[in-house]
Amino acid sequence: MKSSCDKCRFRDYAERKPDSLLARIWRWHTGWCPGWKAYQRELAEQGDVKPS
Amino acid sequence: MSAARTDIAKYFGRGDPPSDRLLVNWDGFDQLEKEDAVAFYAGKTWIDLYRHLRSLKGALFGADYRLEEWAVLTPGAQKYYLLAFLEYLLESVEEANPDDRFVSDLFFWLYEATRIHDGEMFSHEETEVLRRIAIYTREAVNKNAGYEEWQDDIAENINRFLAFI
Repeated sequence: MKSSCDKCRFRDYAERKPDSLLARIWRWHTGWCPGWKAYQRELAEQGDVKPS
Repeated sequence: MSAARTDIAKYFGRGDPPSDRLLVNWDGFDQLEKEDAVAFYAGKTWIDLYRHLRSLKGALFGADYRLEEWAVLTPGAQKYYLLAFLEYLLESVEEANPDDRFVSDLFFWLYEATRIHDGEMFSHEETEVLRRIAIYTREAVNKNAGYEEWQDDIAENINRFLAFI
């Protein structure tokens, strides 16, 4: 899995501190990140539920 | 790209590393992020950061670039440590097996830093250096098959940065 979003520090930080500045930036970042886009495609191919 | 290397050293990474009290602005906002930033950056030179970035090469999940912490540093501290990120970028962008996540994340955080500071973080001269590096990087990414399916997204994101600065 090239995306490795399940190991992403930024995502982990945002999920641990959802009210933080970095969490707000992370949500915006998902629109940029090629890894996140690849991660979504991989999950869709596996039939997994799309993460929030 | 040797001219760009001279330019980035002219504008970034200058002088001594910021003292601990100048790393972040303790204004009551984003306290936890700033504590993490100080925990990592305190006492480090830009060369220490550069060595840290190089140590991540080849790591299976090596996205420990500390750009999240960099994002909450003061503008002066950000400019000081930016030299390490830019040196690592220029060193690695053309490699056959490039650090695609780093390239992608760096331009995202440069965009964010510019946005957060209302476009006033970088001087005209600094902006021009960053513009040249962004154009060079975009061309290198477009020519390098090592970016695989990330190639178009990274180039597009660099274009977003260029359109914003």
